[in-house]
Amino acid sequence: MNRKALIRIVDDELNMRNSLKFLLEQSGFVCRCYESAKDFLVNDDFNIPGCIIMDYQMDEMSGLELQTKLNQRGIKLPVVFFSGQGDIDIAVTAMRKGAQNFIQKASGADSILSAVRQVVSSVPESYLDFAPSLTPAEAINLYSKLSYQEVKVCECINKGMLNSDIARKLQISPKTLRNYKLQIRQKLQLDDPAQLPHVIRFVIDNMKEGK
Amino acid sequence: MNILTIKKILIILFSVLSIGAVQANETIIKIGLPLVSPPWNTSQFLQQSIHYLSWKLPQYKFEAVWVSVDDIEKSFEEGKLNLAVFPSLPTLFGNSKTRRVLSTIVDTRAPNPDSGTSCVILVPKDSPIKDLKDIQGKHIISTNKMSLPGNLACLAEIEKSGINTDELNLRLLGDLNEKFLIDDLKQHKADAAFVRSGFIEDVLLASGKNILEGLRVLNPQQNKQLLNLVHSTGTYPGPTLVANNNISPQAVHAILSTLLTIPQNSYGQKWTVPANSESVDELARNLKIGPYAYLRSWTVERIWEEYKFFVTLAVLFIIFLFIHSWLTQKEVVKKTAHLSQALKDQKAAEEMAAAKGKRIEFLEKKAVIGQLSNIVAHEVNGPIGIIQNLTHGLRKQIDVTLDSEADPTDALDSIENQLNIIEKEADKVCSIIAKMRLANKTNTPGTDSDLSEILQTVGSQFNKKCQAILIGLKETTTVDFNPIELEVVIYNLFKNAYEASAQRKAPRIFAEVSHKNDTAILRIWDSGPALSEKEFLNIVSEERQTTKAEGIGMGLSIVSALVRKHEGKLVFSRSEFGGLEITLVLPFSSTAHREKNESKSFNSNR
Repeated sequence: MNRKALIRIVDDELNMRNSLKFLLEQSGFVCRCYESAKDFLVNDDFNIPGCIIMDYQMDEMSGLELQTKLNQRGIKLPVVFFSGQGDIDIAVTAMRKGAQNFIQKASGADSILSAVRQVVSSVPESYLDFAPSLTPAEAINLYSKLSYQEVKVCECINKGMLNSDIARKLQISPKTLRNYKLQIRQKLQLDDPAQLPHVIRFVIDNMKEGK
Repeated sequence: MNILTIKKILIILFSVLSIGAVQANETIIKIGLPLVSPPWNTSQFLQQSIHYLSWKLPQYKFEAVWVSVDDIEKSFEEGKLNLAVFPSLPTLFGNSKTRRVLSTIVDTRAPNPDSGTSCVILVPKDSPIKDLKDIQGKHIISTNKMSLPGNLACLAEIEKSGINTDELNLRLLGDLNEKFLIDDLKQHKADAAFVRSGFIEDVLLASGKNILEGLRVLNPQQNKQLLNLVHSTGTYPGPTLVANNNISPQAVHAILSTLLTIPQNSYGQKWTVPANSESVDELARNLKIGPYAYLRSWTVERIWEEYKFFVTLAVLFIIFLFIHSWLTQKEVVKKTAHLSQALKDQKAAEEMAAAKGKRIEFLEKKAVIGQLSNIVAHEVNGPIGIIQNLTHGLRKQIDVTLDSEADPTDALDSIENQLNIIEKEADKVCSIIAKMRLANKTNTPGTDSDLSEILQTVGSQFNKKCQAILIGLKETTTVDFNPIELEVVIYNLFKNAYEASAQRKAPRIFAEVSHKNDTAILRIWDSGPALSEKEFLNIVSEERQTTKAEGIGMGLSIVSALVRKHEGKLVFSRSEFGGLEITLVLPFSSTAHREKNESKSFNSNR
């Protein structure tokens, strides 16, 4: 049951593919790249939950054609389109055919990340892999021991904010922030810094459900 | 003197007085009788008739008053007469409303009351006068003025033959007796004479003398059934009794009923029904006398009488003209209103067309800018997206690296790699911007571009998707067109062709360059399915509704706007496959063309 959400990146441009993969992996997502629609159709395991980020304009088979094919095959993976051009009519067509989101290539990493997060949140167990050793009750118990400042930091981390942004927001130095983060990790019994955002999210989501 | 004698005297006196009283109570009725040239056979019958009336109607005292034919009318009109016998119908003069025509005399010679009298024109036997027309200018004699029968009947007859009787040389003797006329004529004192009909016969009856000896009847009439008398003219009513308005109807009734009981005499003379006035009326009209005297001058009455038809016609015509002009005026006002409205509408339409033209121009500009910005966006957004992704990713990585206590060497290697990529992508953006700036600097018509080179560049872009077959690209073809804009034009045309043929298994685009005079001709067509007539017209029409699902309908508009800007020409036709074939006619670059010509002439000179 503990399956990780898989983000498929379908783009015919190598640098774009790799940059997206790098961005998403840094945010803790698991990615797989495909250089064309055909490559994706042949090699992907559609049973793994997650989503598809695909370029709208590709040679051979365009993103829209791929989406049509997926619809025909009954593959329900959510699709996020990615386009160099921001034509409204193209976006409308794509959304009509069932795309979850339509993002311009230069609209910023935040919009890509939030779009992916929004799409992947519908996959229930997507983050469990990051905190296997804790039950929700244990996690909430640990989280409740955090100080006020540490909780504030956790909320910022949960929003996906970078260190420098959090430090500026809370008006503390980066070094102080790093100390806070270290304390949080220790209190939540985490060794890997990369796991921190997932555990925080897991706790906050469970707390919301508890309410 | 004894009593007896006195008694006798008294009785006689009384008787005389009583008789006188009776006589004094009698109504006197004056009957005018015409004095006609003797011997007049009818005068005896008239006297007998008056005797008969006196005998039958003792309550009236009848007085015969003989009056000349010319005066009888006048006396009657003045009321001096209660009754009058006219030689013919008296309808010519006076107030006919006050008269009653009672009865007309007929006899064996003239049995019809309407044709009782006529007139005879006598000429000497050896006279050159052969018919009525010859009488003009001749010396004519007659007894009295306007009698009927007499002058008037003759004049009417002559008038009918086309001679103006006012100009006749007619002399009136002023004597009643027509015997003198015969004498004058026989003595050649005159050329012709008018006498009443019956005169000849009456003379013969009375004296056994034939006055026609040495004379001749002009224009003799042969209608003996109507009038068995020698005559030269038409016939008119015989002697007729007319009652004046100064006699009571009871008296008229008694007189008339008595007259009609008078038995006819040996000449067959008797009173009968009154004559018809038609012939007399016609005579008056012909001679323009009596009620028709107005015909002698141009009075309104005469004009109306003579030109009734034309006057009516003219009045109708004037009415028609009036109505017509009124209607025309109305129509003119209406039409003018229509015209001014039409002019207004036309002006409005022109203004609207101008506004639309401006709008189209604006839209075309917008479309060009939109299209160019799309191209730029497509080119620039890629590298920028990559940079954004990598920088965000890098910051995350740095955060994680700083958070962990592990050795940062590997992380730093990865960071360096990503930074290299960022640098390259940034360079790409810079180069695109530099190209755009260059394009902007040269963004004026008159900049030369190599059509072949641009075709190859665009063709290679499409070669991944389909087969772009380029024909005639052997030499450099420098045209007078901004390179960026020419690329936009050719890119759009190729895109069009590709989209039209994309349904085919192996889509193909054809482009052929040829030269003609001072122009380069580029033909682009595709292997797409044939277009229906409607689709073809749609493309060619100004609106250019796109046939493609994703199109924005502006591609060809941009192309045509750019081509127009560079004074080129865009022609739409059908390709050999039935699809759209676009021919682009572009002027050669003037400088390049000149150089080419110069080198040619230089080579030929060598």
